[in-house]
Amino acid sequence: MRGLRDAAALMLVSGPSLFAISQGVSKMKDIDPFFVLGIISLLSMLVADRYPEVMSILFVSTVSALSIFMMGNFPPFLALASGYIFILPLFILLASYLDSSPQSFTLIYFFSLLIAIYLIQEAATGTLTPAYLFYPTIFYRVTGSRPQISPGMDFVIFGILVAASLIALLWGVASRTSFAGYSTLLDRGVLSAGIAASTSSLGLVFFSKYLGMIGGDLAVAIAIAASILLVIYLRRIAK
Amino acid sequence: MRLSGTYKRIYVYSTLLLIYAVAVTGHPLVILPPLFFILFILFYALIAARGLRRVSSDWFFHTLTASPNPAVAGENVKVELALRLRHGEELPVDVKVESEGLSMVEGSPSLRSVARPNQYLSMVFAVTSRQVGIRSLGPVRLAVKDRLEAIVRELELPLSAPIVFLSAPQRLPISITARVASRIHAPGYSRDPIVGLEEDYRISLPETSSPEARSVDWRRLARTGGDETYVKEFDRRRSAEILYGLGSGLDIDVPGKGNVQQLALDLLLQIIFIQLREGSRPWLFQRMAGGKFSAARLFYGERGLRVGGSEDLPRQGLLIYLTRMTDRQEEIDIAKLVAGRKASTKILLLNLSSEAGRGLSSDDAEKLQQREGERLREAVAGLDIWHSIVDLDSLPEALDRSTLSGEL
Repeated sequence: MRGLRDAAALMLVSGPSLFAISQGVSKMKDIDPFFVLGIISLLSMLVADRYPEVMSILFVSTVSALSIFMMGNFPPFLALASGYIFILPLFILLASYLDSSPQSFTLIYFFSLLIAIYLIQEAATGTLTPAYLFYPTIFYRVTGSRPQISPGMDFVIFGILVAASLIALLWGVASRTSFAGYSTLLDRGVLSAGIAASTSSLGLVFFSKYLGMIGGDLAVAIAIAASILLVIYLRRIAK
Repeated sequence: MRLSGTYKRIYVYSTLLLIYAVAVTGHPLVILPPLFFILFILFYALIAARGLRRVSSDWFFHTLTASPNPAVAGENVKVELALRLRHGEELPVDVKVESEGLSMVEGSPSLRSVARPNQYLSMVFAVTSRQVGIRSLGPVRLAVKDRLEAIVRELELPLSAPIVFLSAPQRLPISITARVASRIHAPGYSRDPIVGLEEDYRISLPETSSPEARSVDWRRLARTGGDETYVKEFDRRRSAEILYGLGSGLDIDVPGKGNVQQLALDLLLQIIFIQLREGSRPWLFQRMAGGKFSAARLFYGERGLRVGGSEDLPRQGLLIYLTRMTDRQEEIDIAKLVAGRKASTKILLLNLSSEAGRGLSSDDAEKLQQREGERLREAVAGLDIWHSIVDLDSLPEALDRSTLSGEL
């Protein structure tokens, strides 16, 4: 039962990454065999504990891509590495779900989300190729060299999946306590805090959109205020 | 009250990602998850902290036992802690038993569990000490958490158990059968529990004196027809508190004589056994690292000498403190120890230079002894406490004299 719940939670947590990967696959151009090999070899690492022979896929693909690279042909090596990057948001979640601490998994989830958003943004431009994954598009906002993307239906679905993954992640963190179980989320305190946090976060998005405020800056201001409030409150209540 | 380690890290990671998201990507879908976590932790902390605020150390019933106690140095002492939540609801707790100068040999002094009303939480572990002396267990630290284990309230249970480590088991117990009639008012020299029982415990006063009415033995006065006035000056139980302290620099081996602390402890035990028989309450305490004193009350149980549980040193009685004053901080610690105490205090300054100077010429040995004596006097110069310098050979006599002349 616990395994089933964990599998369901992992599915929900991986939802945004899976969606971003599927969007990437559907809109990617010039898919290289080495790109596919990169994806397969990284995924095969997940079962390497049980089936050590799958490690050969990783070695063969890496050695062959490196050999071709040494002969002066660069693209297969790049495609293999792009395959690794492409599957990375899903791989890190699957690889660490059961073995890592709640705080480490939260950090991994944030990394996964960053890569997933990067993928989905690149997929939305319609110009995604394996080689493109290597370009520093993550700094486009700073340099301003990328075209602006207007959010479509895929971003709405992605947003819903992110919300579902957050709930699953919260359950994942809470279920590692002494009171494990799905009922943890139905605890009055957890439910109240969850509703208040969701409402505030979503409210921020709407306010920033309709009032013409800079959402990001407001979010940072809220985070700073929350930290100060938290420290003062916990200190005062302890007295 | 504070955030637990897990939630503190999640909070920090969320904040870092938020700053990164705002500075670099600016995408709302990257901003929202960390912001959600930050706000969730904030709101949850506000709610959960109110519930934890009521929890106090009074909510827990607790016992801490160590057995065997006294133990032989190097022997394993089994420690058992039992905790019970008196009321309230289930609480996740982290329990840690602090110890001073003890080595863990079995089990762990930490426990992570859920405390439930009227159910005992227990932990068992074993400790030991290779050195003789008094070691201390406690206090017990509790980290009480909310259901989500996000907020932690730290509590300290005022629980401590002194453990006395001795050199050899055969010294326990020493049975005293000889009747020692000393004819003097001093603890340890009479087996009778009433002071003055062996002598005429009521004293006759000269006609010129006029005692207080409450001290007059009116029955005896009536029996003598009013010729003599008797007062009940010594008519009280020998329940004097006698506090023996071991200070710094004693854990040293002297060739041919062994460990000084062990010798001192053996000497003290010989005196303590006698004092226990007559009804006195002897205490042993030792100065630990950091200036803290570990104290143990000694008494007779069914299996011989026993060590009492957590009690503070009494504020009255006779305090005898043996030390070599090798720690500069010790003078301050002694001053703090005697401050506000009505105990008659005596410091025995142990001069070991005679042992060190055995291979030297008589002149050099004398100089060495003088210099050490001066150092010891200087070390206690700031204390307005009676003190005396003794060497290892005269230590038994000095201890005897100290108890004899005590004003109890």
